[in-house]
Amino acid sequence: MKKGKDVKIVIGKRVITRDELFKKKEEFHRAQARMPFEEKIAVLVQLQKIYASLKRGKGITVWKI
Amino acid sequence: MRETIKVINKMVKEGLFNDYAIGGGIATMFYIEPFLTYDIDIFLLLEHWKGNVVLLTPVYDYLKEAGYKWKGEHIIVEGVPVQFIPADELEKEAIKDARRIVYEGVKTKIIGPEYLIAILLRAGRKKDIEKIEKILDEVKIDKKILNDILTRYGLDERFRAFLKK
Repeated sequence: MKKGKDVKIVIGKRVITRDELFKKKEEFHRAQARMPFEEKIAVLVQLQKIYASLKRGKGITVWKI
Repeated sequence: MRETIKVINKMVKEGLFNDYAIGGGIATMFYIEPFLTYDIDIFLLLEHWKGNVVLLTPVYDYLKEAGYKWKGEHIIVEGVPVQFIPADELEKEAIKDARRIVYEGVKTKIIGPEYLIAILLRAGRKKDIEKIEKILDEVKIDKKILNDILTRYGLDERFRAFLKK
């Protein structure tokens, strides 16, 4: 099996390299960082809800926003 | 969170503390992508000092009288766990320098990225260091300001060691 850069990933009709995949991932994180603060807090509350449901509500307060 | 900030702003107006800024995870999240966190750290500029003792009692009494309840180390203000932290010298500067923002129509202040890096570096836990890495990746930092803060607070060596890793 080929390693690293040579590996191509097929997603539907798209073919991308591992490097491109990680580059896109990085771009995604940067875009997330540029989100308006209000939207970030909404994402945070969603994360808190997921965490609370996994922990069955123990030890976390899901914020009111 | 909007209502929480409104309560805190009201406390400034009523003279319970002189000024404040949001720090910790929520301030970090202002600059980087969202991540799970549980509380808001509010750094306070206050004058209720007696020698080396800082009196947070008036702040907590005010909130207790307003009907807010304790949960562990936090007080739940309008549904959000809040921790009030009296600012030390570094944090006092950070409050004065903090960015003024508007959150859902309410004015507030967020510690700037350069001071945030210094505060996180000083705390030095694994999760703090990870936050610094993200801030440096995603935010345009004023290196001159950062270096000045780090040098004045004796954190420059620690920062160089962090950059080497």
